[in-house]
Amino acid sequence: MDNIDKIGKIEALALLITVINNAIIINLPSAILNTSGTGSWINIIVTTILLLFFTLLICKFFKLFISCDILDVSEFLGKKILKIIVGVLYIFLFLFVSAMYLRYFSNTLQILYYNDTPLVFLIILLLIPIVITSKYGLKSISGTNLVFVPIAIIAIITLFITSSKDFVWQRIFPILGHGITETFVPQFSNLSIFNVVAYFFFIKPFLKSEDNFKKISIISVLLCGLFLTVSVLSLLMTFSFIAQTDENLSLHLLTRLVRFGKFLQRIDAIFVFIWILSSLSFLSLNLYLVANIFKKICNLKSTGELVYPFSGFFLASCMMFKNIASVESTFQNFYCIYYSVLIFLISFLVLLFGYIKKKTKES
Amino acid sequence: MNKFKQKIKDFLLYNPNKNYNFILSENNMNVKDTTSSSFLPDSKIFSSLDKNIDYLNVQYNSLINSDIILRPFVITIKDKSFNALLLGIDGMISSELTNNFLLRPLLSTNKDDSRLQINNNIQISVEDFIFDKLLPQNTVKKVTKFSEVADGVTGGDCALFIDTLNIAFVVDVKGFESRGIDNPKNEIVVRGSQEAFVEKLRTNTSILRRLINSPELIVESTSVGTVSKAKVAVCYMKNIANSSLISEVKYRLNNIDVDYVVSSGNIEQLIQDNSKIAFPQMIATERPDKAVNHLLEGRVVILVNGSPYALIAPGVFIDFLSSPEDLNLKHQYANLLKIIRFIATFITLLFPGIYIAIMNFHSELVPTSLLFTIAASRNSVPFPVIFEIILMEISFELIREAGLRIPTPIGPTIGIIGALVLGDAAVSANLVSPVLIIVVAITGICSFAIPDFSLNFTFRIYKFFYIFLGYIAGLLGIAIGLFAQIAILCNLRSFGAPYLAPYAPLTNLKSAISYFIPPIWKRENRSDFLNTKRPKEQAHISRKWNFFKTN
Repeated sequence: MDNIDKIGKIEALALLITVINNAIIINLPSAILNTSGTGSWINIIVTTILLLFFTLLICKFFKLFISCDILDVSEFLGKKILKIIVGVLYIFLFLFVSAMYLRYFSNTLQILYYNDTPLVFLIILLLIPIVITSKYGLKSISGTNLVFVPIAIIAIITLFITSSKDFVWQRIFPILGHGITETFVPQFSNLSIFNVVAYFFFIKPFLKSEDNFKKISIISVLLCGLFLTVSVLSLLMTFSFIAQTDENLSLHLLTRLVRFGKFLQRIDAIFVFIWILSSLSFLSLNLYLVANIFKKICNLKSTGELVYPFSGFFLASCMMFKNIASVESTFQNFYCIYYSVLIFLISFLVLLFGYIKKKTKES
Repeated sequence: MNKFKQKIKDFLLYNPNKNYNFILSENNMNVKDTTSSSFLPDSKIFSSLDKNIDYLNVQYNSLINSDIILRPFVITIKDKSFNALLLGIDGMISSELTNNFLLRPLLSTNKDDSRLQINNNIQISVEDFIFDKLLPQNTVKKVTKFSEVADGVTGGDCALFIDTLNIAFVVDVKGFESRGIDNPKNEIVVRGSQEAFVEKLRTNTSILRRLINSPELIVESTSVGTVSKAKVAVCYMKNIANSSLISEVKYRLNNIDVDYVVSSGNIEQLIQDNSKIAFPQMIATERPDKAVNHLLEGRVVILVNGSPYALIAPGVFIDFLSSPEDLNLKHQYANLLKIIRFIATFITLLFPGIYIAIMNFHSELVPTSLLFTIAASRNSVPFPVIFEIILMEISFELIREAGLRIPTPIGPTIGIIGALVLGDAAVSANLVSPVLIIVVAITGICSFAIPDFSLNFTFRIYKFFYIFLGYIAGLLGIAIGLFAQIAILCNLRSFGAPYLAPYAPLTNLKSAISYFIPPIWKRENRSDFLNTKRPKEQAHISRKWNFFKTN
């Protein structure tokens, strides 16, 4: 069952917010905290500004390609072979990020609530709704996501507001963290936290009105910057030790502090419940994109049945990691570099040369 | 010795089996029904009355059917006599109408033969003469096929056959008893109309006509069923409803190949988009005002003869959470009720599941003092929570079902037994904890707050899934169930309309709050997902008096 319906501006934005939200939930802010220390929030602002320029460039290059994603541009530039190469690289990217996410999230859930439950059982449980949703197509994913995004946003905002009573402003000092270079020069890891950029390369053909592409992309980068800044500041000002430790789901630490009177003192499970819903949206989108890219590079008709084998890949890939530590080290040592090279170098160059070729042809 | 003699007798003499064992023949597929095979429903009416009588005798099994009236008589036109036959069903036709306004004009001698003299073709002239002069009814149809005769006669009309004419006159002399218009039984409102649909199709269509004072209301008739043809009316506003929607409804109704349908519930199941999903996909209502509201919004209403419920297509999720009362009240009151209903829906579906999830996996969510109380109350209960909750939920469902079936005079008994079983006795016997009684009771009460009967059923079914999911994986289980269910609903359509419209897909931000109703003067647009011919239902400034006054 392949649903080729297009999605509107709000639905697309909601999907990208989910990607951003999950980046925050999954502890990506801690990667910045590790590299930039107390200067992380300045680093995020600098990175956001740089990424805004990058996004504007992408939008300008994509403007010439109507209803095209990066695969179509690759095909235009380097025929089928380049399309397959870029496609495989992106399949690997989305597969890899999903596997890391799934493993990290399920492992954390196991530690928090399901000590006696086998990990594979938790992963399979998470995979079932993901497969169902992805099988029904993007329309179903965006619709489901749209139902839960407001709840996820409210949860995050509530979390930041309620934790503000524990803020100690002095904790953001030294303001330049680990030094001027670490604060003002974006590292590979910091760039990879803005993983929403990867989705810009694929979302355009799904939009009902392509004129909204630029608006959606810019709003997404700004929201990503805002969410990351707020989350990093909240963590920094609440916990003095946060820049020196590797906490699992560091936002979960904040949820432990949320209290409403004497009656509701430990409501972290409610936040985790909302994050599970959000993560299911995120993983469904990734699974759909993987199947869709494979469909495109193999010229298949539908993504419906492809969802099953790729969900098997998801399961197998996330079971490859030995533990959370191996997920984190893979993220730091491999994924950040892979992501940065693919998005900011390969995809950018493909788009740039495609744009020049198209411009030359038209003129 | 006697025993021995008896045994010899039994062995040698014929001894018929005294037990009466009737076994239904299993191979009756091979037995041909000769009477049925001789009946061809599409046969044309013969010009010979004798042939027609023979045909009707076979078609209506008049020798064994006691209520079939075949009344032969002679009519005289210009001194020429014609044999005639009146066919009707006793109890369906009105004797008074038949005697006074059908037989009396026909049996009296007719000398008014001016038309016969003008026209040379005697057959046509007799036909026209009878039609114009002898049948003083407002609804008379000339039919040429026996199937058309059957449609009329089984609906309460009379058929008149005249020798030498190869047509029959179907005359409306309906006179069967039917229930009068009564109060709605299941959709009660405080403010609003107090009349409900009845079983008679024409009464129902007349109610709609009365409430919609516009010639744009179209009432199309069709029939469903091959053995018993149920009359079905498709109603819509020609200038509002989407043409594709109307065509789709008619297409589905005209392509149902079943022997019979007896109620609108049958039709609903036969024409809904996805029969595997328990969620209702068409609105069923006994309230004409609700049907009218939906008609004027651009939906299609289906009425079935014999059923006091109208079907409305398409039906989306939020329709089933709306009460007919909502539109009669001020928006503030209606919205308060809507919030309460939404909470009730949430509780009905998830509360038992969440309770078991919290008890098994997330007990830290419960405040410490309350947790101690719950733990103390469960201390003497030997069963796990899952057993307790399933036991109580099934008991509650049993009491609910029994309450529906029990005769009215002993109805209160079920309440007493229910209170005893669900209440004090179960706790005293240490079968369940008091907290669980509260959970089940709240869930039960909330389920009654869901306005739609079918949605109520759906949530009662899915509640058990969530109990299971909460048991195996706590809030994770609830989350995956909820996510999968919404994904499935996102993919569901009702007559082309997305089931979760107007939220998914979200066409504009205003739609995000369309569960709540705005003030009546702000309800400018019809629902987006209906794609009506008239998207606006009122002017931008509907309260013009106020505008003129302020300027």
